[in-house]
Amino acid sequence: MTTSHTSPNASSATAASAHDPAFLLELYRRLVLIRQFEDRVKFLFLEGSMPGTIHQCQGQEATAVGVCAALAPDDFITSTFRGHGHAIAKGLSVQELMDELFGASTGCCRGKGGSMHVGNLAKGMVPGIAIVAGGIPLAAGMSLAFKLRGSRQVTACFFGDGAVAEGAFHEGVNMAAIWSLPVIFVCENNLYGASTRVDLVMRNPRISDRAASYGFRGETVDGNDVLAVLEATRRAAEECRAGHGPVLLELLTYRRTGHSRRDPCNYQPKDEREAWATRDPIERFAEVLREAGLADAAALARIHAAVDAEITQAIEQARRAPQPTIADLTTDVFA
Amino acid sequence: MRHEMKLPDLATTGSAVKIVRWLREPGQAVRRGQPLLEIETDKATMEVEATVDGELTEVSAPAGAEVVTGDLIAVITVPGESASGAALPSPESAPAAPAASPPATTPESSARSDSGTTGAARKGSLFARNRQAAGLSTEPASKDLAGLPLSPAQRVAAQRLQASKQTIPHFYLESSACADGLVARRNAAPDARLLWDAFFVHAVSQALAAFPRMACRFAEDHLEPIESDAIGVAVDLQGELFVVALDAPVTKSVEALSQELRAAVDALRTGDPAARRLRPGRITLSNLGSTGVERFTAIVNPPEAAILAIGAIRPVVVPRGEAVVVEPRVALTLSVDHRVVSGRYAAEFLAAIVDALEKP
Repeated sequence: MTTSHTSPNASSATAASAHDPAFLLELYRRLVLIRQFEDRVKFLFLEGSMPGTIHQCQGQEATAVGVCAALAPDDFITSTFRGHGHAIAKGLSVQELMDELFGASTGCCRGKGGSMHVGNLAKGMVPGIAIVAGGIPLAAGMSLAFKLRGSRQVTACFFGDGAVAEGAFHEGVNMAAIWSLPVIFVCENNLYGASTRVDLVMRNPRISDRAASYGFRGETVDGNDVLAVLEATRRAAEECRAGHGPVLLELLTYRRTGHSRRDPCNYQPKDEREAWATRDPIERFAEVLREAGLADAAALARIHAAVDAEITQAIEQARRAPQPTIADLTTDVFA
Repeated sequence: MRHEMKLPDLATTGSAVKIVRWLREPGQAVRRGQPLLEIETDKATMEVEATVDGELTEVSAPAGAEVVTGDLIAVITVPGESASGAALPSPESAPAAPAASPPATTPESSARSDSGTTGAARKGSLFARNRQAAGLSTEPASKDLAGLPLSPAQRVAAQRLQASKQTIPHFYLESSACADGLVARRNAAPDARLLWDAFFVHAVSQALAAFPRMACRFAEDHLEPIESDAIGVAVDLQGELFVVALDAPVTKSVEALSQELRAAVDALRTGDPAARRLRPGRITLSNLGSTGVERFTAIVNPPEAAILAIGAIRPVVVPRGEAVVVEPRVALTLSVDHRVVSGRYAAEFLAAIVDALEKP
């Protein structure tokens, strides 16, 4: 059982040449869609149009897009309180997400989930599980179901570095290991569990090393390189479908915003923020596309403009979308 | 178009939020995403960004004011059909053409009596009703201070001081030091403005090096060394208490400590959020000498084990052998957590402070 470490500058134009250009441009569009969605939602929150707090993922778009692009439509993901990017990457529409954030009955959870619980079972996303590490045992259970049914589905289970020291991580990961379940444990290591830096709570901050102690394969990947994430997830999914799961992927990334909207993020040192800003996943992938001759600046600008228009339209519609009524109070809920 | 900027929902408990300072002034252009002001919530100081491009026309909630989520804090004039990238108008900010805009408030007029008026001005709003239901006054304070609201920082200080006094078994030791050497050193220094506090921090840091137990905190069944090498100096800025933490004072000169303290107090005055952040220290010094008070006892600043209260340096008649002399002396009162150290240990520590102060 080994833990391999991908070098930070692994992928690039050579890796890009192995893919269909339309597919690569769609990856780019998804990255931009997540970034712009998050940026627009931030201002909706600040101007008071959107209730509740929100947990955003600016800077981490490539983890969501790279993982989900490697999955089949009927594969499943579990997500966290920071789930907007996962949802968009798994194919939920901007409209059903925006409606959900506005609490509208046309939202993906009929307005009853809100920001922390976005999801759509028909599209392979269990509504977000906001308890830290809470999704890990559930992902093991779902994958056990896939295995018992003999389906070829896999589960990609997203969680953060803060989840690794939770008891639920050990329980879920160990179960998946002893039964060789088809689950990819995707740790988005953004260096901070809320405000606590990983090296304060881990003696060994290389999270992928944990896999070896359970007897399966772990891999650390540059999480801001969408093609590196895609390739690593494809390998992991193949192993899972062949009965050699689970796999632990540690995706190194960085959150360019506070833990939640109420977090001023003062704990991220300035030089660290600046260093990560130079590794922005969208700018890096744009560079790959330009070098491969797949898109010039004008083509990329058209993508940004189209995304902007799509989100503007979704916000307009979400503002007018119907809210749940008293009659909806007891539907779709267990208690 | 007139865009009313309201306070976003940034507090963690729905409590009031204080405006620390405005980073832009009326008349200046603002960009969407540009930090516009700093606020202090129950948990943190943070910047609030503008949500539209335009010109800051009015500041409705000046520095020092307390507001709650949804209160109007500023008006931004957005150029008609502005360039792409401008925010979508929200339904409630549509041109309802208010008959009279709220009066512009200058920072000078931001007296205490102003705070809260923004909430009261719109009694009908959900936020104002919630605030009234929660017992938070939305009326201006009357002349006799009845109902004078405490700032978030003052509320936190009040809770901490009450917890300290109620849970820490304090005992108090009194002594005094001859200040001849201090006065001579300060007068001889090229910088005539050396802060007295710097001398005391310097002396306490030397004493602390020989009494490590004084730098521990009580942790139920054991002692825990405080993970800081700083010494705190209590600072009162218009009734708000802050503790400036001076790192590793034992390695620094009195001159360096004086400069550092002066810079920190200046930063506090400007509302610098980094300076206002609470940082742990090993011990705190509280100096009321400038008020002429002779001696006093202070309340321990948790998790520290002791606080040193410093009175005024005043001429005192002292018998010396058969003779009587008059010399400048300063009274020192050490308040101590008895769970951490014994009376004797603390007394020896206080004697070491006196020694360090009297050392030429």
